Amino acid sequence: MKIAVYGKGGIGKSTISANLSAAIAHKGLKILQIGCDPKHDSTRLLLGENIPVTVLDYVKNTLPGNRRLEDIVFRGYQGIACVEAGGPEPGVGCAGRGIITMFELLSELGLDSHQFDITLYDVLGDVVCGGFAVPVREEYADAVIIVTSGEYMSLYAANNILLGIQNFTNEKGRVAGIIFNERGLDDELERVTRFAQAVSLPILAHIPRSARFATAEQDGKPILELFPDSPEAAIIRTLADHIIKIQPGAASLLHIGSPLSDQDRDTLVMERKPSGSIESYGPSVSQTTTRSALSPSVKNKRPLIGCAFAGAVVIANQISGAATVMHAPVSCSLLIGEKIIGTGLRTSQVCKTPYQISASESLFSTNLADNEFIHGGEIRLADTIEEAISRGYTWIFVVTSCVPGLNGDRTRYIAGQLHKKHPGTRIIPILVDGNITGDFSQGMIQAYREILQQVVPGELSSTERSVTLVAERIFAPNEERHIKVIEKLLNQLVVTINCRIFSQCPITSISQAGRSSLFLPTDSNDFTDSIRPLIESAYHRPFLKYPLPIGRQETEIWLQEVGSFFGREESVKIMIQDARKEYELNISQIRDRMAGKTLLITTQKRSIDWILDLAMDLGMIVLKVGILYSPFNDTFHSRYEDQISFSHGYDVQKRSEDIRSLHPDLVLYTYPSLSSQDYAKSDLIPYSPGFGFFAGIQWAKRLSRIIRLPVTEGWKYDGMEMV
Amino acid sequence: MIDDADGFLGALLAIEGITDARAVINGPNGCRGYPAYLSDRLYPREYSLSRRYFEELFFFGQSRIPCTYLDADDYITGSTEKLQKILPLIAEKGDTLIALINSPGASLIGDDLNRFIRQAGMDHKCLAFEDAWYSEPVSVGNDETVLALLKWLRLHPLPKVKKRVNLLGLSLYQRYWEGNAEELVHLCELMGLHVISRWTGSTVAEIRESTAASHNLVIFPEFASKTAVWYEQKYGIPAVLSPGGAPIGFDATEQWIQSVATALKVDPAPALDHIHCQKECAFHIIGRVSHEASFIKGLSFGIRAPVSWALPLVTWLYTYLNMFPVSVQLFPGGDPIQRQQLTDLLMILQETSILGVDPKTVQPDFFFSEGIFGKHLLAEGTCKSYLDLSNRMYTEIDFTRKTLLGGSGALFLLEYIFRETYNSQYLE
Repeated sequence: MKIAVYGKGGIGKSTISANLSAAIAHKGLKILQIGCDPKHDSTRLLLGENIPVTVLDYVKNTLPGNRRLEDIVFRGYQGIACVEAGGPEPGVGCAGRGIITMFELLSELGLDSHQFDITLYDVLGDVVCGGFAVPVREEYADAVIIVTSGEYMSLYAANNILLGIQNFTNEKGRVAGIIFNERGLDDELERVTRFAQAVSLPILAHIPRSARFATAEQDGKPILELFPDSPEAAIIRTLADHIIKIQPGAASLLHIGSPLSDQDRDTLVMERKPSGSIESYGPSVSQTTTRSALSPSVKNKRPLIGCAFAGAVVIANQISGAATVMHAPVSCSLLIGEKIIGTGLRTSQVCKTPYQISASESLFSTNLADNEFIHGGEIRLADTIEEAISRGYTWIFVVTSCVPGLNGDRTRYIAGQLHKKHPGTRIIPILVDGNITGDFSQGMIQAYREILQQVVPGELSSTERSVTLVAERIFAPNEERHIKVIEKLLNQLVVTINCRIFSQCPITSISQAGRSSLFLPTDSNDFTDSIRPLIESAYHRPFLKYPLPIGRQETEIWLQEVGSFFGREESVKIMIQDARKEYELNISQIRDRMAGKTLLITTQKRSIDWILDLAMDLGMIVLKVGILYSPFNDTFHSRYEDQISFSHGYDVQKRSEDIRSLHPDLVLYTYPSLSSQDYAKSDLIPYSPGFGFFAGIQWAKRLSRIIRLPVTEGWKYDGMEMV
Repeated sequence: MIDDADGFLGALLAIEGITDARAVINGPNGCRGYPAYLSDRLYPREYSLSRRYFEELFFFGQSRIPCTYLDADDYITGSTEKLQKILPLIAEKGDTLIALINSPGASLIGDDLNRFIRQAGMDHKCLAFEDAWYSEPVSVGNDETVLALLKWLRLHPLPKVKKRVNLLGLSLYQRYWEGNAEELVHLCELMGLHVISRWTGSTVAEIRESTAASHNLVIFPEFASKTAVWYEQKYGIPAVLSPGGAPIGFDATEQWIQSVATALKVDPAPALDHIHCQKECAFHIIGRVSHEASFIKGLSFGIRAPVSWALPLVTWLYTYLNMFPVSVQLFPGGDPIQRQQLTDLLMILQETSILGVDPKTVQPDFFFSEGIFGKHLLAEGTCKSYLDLSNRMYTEIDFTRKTLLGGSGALFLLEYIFRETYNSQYLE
């Protein structure tokens, strides 16, 4: 028989539990009492002093292979077996997680509750999280007893416990009843009686306020030992007799209990009447806001794709010369670390550029394991930052995963302490807390915000004929090669790239980026829009309204804007003239094959004007552009909105229907690809097609070949039987 | 950053390795992207041309390891609603077994996963892992998950059938897992043995039959030591462990065959003859290219692996090709006898100091390891060639069935070493 005793902290449940165990043991039954409260004093009256070691301290200090049951189970009054969960230091770690770990360890070490007639769990009753609810789960406690006084907060906690039990039980009686531990308030008995009636539970015992309990408490002994003939001892014995009769599923002694709504609790039990006169404070409270820019998924509470931790690590890792400490379990660090290193390797392979060793060597991980989940990972964090400092890093970003976010690690405090110890260092926490802050994009936004706060305004004084590139596609391995095209165009205008924020950006460049006279966004999307105000406020420099250009038309517009800004209009005219000739030569080689062909484009929300430009130059007919949902972008704009049919809220079913009804000669798509039922020639729109006049030409040549190929590749027929 | 995989990945891949089982993560989408990708790439089961798209709840464009996509609200209030929705939906997929596994963050919430499983009426086919060996070695995650699942299955003790065995310690995580299993099954068949269950690539029904085995052949003890002990204690199935480690290279393979044959009292000759043929084949090729490739002798190598991999590979490369170990880093755990044997070998070389040496400090010609770490060394020029012993790369595409184990695995290793040597800069 397993019984959980719940009640608000400080209500006396440990005293009652210990005395109850003592009384049951006197009847000759074998008892196991497990304290499930971080303050670990449930068994103090049975042991005469605090337990020598709690389970969670033991787990922390003992290797898994060396753990033994006899190290954590102690013999108390009348042979009662005593165990205390313990918990982390106040303010850190996750005590609820600790309770879960204790139960797992006791099970692993073979503590069989069947060896005992009664197992009694003494549980902190402020059921604040799932961990503290573990004892009430069906595989643990057969019955629950609630200890309460007539105080409002105690009854509030009692009602919460019933709500918790309701969550874990399917119409099965689990609650034995209420123990009323009197505090000596006016009308206290009436109030508790009203509560008990309202929640349909019996009051099992009324324990009066008594100095004998205080004396026994002070002496560290059960009241049965110190005052065996007292009325209080008699009440405890009667209660013990009742408990012994309880058996799992004993219908008459176990009750379902009906928790009250907040309003019923206040009106029925506390006899409070709602005034209904609470007014809003009005808009004046929200005049100043520090609300961060939000990614589309966070803003609209959509399912989060990816994790802010990963997004923040990716951006922080772009700052060369700085270390990134991932305050996370191995699995989180592995996931993003491997992606970063993999992309670096691929970039070096594709672009024939030197491999950036620093990107992986500057990554550190705290590798949080179960101990840190419970007790907090501050020590591990401090050690890992120290390791980064010992390797010579003076700039250190600390990115938090959900584990420190949940167990309350004081990351900012640790960073501050280490900064004091190492005054030359700058330790910058990026507290994204895994995906608690949001998705991958949100993590990137947060990282930009934190990094940009490091910009030193004094270094912004001089301006040059240079630009800063903003928000490159980090996971595009060919982006590096494409940036060279932009660099060449700029050089023709006698303009240089001063900085790329943040792409392989040296730590020293963060402030120096402000010397650029113009900032050039790489892409046009919601993410760039989100970080733009952050960048503008950090550097106070103008942003070009156009992203880096793809194809002839975009490049002409972009060059005219940049040329005008730097006073090089004449150079731009010559560049455009020269490029047009070469472009026309290239396009004319393909146009004959493509002219008049019909095109269906299905894309997630991203700029595709370069494709439409290309299609127009090739003389193709665009039947429709279907705009699919994107977790990364809410907005979609096109220069062609008045000329072409755009279908918003598009999906793959509509695409299949359009393929059947419109018979396009070619379908261009972003993810997902066409299904086996979609009979059409098709190609994937490249993620990073390149920049400049001739970006897209190679792809157009490929399309001119695809249009002459069979609709389906032969291998696809081999999978038909799997459909 | 050395990125050794952890127990969470080990647990997920242990489940995903069973042909008709599915892992489901109670956790954020970000936690499942990489393992879901790996599972789908390593063990293709779904029709790949019906690609899902981002809106599809729980799957979000990936066919394996759906998740409850926890967000900030769920960390506070629990993920009741999502758990109630996902389980019936997954049940429709027809898997024989489902494992619901908490992500690291979800393990701190304390949702009672079993309650939701019961409520969905799925307790006969779904089990819960409320924590999953976060930051423990990948092998521990595999072993513990396999053990928990076997216990949950409540296997019936079946009458032992002679010459029937199980293979223990194989995982999707290991490079060429399918070829590895096939190679071992083939060697067993040559000895007249029938493999009942190999876990990875086996069905739940085959795993249920595993108690009919007379012996368990433990290939990689790091991945199966607890499981092997449990089988022995609970069902009286003894474990066979080759003292030479896993069957990697000709010598350890022959030793493995001998160990198995002795334990099961079967004739090793057919299997040994098969290896002998493969050795002859290797001899003829090495003999003919040795004038060009004799410089293999004396080349250095490093390894970062469990001892059951490291012992046979170090021994074989040293004795068979006369390559020289300069860095040996062992993962925690494994068979202590194998560990001692490896130390003894390095003593003979008067090179015990190479145990634990950072490969960056000694710059081996060849490096054998798990994950992207070796590729990183290769890219920075610390080693000249790198072979991944695990299955974690995004870039490797294999069409032909390969193996690292047995005689065929030895031939693969020779082909790799000779080609790399011949085509690269070792002549300098």
